Amino acid sequence: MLLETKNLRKSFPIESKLLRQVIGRVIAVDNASLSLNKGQVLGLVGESGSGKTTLGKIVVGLIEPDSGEIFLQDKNIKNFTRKERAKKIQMVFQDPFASLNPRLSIGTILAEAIRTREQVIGNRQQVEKIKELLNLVGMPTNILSDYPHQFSGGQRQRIGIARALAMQPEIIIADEPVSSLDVSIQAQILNLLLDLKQKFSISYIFITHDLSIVTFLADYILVMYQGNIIEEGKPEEILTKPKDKYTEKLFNSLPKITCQIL
Amino acid sequence: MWKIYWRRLKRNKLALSGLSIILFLTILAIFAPLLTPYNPLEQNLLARLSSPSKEHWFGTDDLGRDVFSRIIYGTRISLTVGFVAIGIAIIIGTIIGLISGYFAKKIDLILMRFVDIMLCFPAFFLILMVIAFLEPNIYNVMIVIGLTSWPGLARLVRGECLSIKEREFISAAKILGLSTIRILFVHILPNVLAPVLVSATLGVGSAILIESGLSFLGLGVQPPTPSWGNILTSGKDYIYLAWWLSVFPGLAILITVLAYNLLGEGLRDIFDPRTFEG
Amino acid sequence: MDEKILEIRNLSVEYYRRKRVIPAVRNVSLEINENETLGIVGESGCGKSTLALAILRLINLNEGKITSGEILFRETDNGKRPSAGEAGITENKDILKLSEEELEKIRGGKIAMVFQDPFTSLNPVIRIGEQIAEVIRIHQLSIIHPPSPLLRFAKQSGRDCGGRANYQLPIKEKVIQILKQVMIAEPERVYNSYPHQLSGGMQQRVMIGMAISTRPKIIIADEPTTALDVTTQKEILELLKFLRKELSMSIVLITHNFGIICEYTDRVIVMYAGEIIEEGEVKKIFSLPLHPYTQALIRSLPKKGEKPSRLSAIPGQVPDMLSLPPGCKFNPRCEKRMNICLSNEPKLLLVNQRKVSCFLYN
Repeated sequence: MLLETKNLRKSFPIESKLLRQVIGRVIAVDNASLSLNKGQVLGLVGESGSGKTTLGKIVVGLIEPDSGEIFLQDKNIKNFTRKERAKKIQMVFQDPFASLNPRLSIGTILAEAIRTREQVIGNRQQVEKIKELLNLVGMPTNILSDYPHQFSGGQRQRIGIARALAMQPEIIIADEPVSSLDVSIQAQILNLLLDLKQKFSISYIFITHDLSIVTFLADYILVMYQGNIIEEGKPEEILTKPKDKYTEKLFNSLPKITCQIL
Repeated sequence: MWKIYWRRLKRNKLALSGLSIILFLTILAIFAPLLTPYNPLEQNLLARLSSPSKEHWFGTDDLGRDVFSRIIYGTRISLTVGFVAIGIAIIIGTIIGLISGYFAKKIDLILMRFVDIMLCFPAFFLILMVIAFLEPNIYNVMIVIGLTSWPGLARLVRGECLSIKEREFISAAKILGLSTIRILFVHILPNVLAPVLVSATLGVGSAILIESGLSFLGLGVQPPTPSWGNILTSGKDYIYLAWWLSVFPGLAILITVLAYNLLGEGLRDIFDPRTFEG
Repeated sequence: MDEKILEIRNLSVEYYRRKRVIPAVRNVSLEINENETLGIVGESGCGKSTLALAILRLINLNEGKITSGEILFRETDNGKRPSAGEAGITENKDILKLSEEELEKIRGGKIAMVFQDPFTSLNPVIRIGEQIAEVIRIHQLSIIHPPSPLLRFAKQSGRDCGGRANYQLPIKEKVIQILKQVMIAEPERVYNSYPHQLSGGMQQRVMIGMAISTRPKIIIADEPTTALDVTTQKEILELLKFLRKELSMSIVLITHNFGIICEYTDRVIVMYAGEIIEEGEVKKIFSLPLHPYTQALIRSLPKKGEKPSRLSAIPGQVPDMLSLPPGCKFNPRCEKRMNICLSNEPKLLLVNQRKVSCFLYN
């Protein structure tokens, strides 16, 4: 077992507008338990407000859970330092326009990640590494001094993936990594993620609202609704005989490309 | 990034005119000894209060000193005070703003209430009080203006920081395990720099104004060192006799402050993300 | 059924950015028939939204302009009551040549728009009911169904004889009726709500309500569900489908989602780099796409239930409108590229009852 979470729970305070008093709590994630094996792709499906992104952020360490535990390779995550955790779990974000610092060059962005992993590294070695990373994600290697705004959404997403790869993580949390990309680019990025999985046996937690993507990618699917995991199972099972009413509704809402493709 | 800004600056007439005046003044200040026909401290009691002429372009004062030379040397004081004071304000304001915005919660509450208190006091009054206790000289003036000008900047930086820290690239930096200091200074700071620069440019103008005011009241730069403020003071007694003693330093202040305001407003347009063209 | 209600001929729109010209829409011709749902599909920057804005002359003049073309809107004049056996007098108006005044009657009246983000389209400080009522009031005189004599009287005399209450009552009823029409369960509550009190789906229903309140002949919906959740998305699309039949309108559905196109439109126009590259009946296009772009795109979509080891992706990037390649605009990404594609631009030609712009079929 690579990663396991037990009964994770997170609620956010609701503040009154006037005095900023806490007048209630909204439960974002309730009692979420999941497990992820090496090389596995876990699909986390739900609509906005279902808590899927919060759950992802808890796993990656951006949000502290109120209660519950996370085990990484059977050790409690609390025993890992921030950097140790960073070397195991990385994230790919939804919006490639927001996830790269507009003031830093591509070289700086990647060098930063490399230097966090390997403290002592020569300049030439570093450049070599950056080029290797860019190669991996299918980007030209002469872009080190370019800035994010010079690239299209798909290219930026590749750079974001390269940054995550620089840490040589075992788990990548991909939070809607293609939903803000153009249709003709989505398949490229999904293929890239699959290739990397095969090459480095990376495990993914793939967070999405798009069921066609998740049934294609995932080995195992969790359906979330209002903070709860309401159904889980293999894609074929969930697709053919969903147990929960909501899951069924979710699947039926998906516009179908019904026509036969020749 | 900065290349784009430079290109936009070149097309912005407002900013460009402000910038050229400031550059011109800076050159005047640097090369003052070469440009002035007289020693600004040299008295010539035979030529007291002589009106503008070929020898004395801006006339002379009550001690027969050349007003033109004194104003040129005064540029040094004004520009130095403006830069140093705002430099101090930027450093304090940015650090406090970053800390306040990034850590939020209690630290933010405390720091921002302090900023509120600072902003409640009329700044000029505060400066007067402090200078009254200290010895009035140019260093104290710079430090005091700097120490009272940061709250607005801090609030600005905090606001920017609050929105930037929610952006995904900050999350990405955290997930990489970067230190908080690095996140603050490498990831957030460059993104708040643009509005800070605008505000600081406008701030230089007002710092120059405050310095002139203080010198006018005799609490700033002490005579005989020439400053626009104290030239005005010496002119005030002769305002009916020798208009040039008040008009020229007044014009100098006006043009300088105007130049900084022009540049500041121009920079605001240049940095405006809504007109950003990628 | 097959009568054209709107015809666009050789429309070109350009945007200007720092003295550079972005040819956002190039030489586009299309028609919208009565009672049909026309889908326009394409990626970001392909010109589909610009096209929609251009139909109502909503291009911001500071940013760009319509450089050529005609937009002919066939208007049936309802002022003159058609006598038995005689159809209403119809007239083709070129929207691009109308005066502002005439345009106002069509814009939001005969042709309405629904945008992607309902929240930014609604005024946050005015109650929903009042916002819909305002649309009705503005287009009161051009409403197509017979105005009741009472209403007309109230409107004429409303202000001077204190008949304001009289005049408001039917409007409120009308708004409630519209809210019911867009299947809002509690129309009274929504009538008195502010936009932020409603969910995104509700807001979009309200926007659709506003659009249909003037009984338009065409609704142009620009990515109406992109900002919404999947389940809400389906509800909104079903609503549009229902309303189209109910009110016998035409709908232009602009989206990047091929699934939506496949399920909800009759005819589809595929755009790439500002041009129409393929046009035809949805079923035909999906069963046998002709243009290599359409082929590749449909092939690249993950299909529910299918599990190939890789998707067949289209290489390259979405075209940069500032530096389009010579020849066919898709040629750098096309797997069936020929020599002629590099130098010549293909024309949109009729092939197998549909139109395609590719040299493979010339």
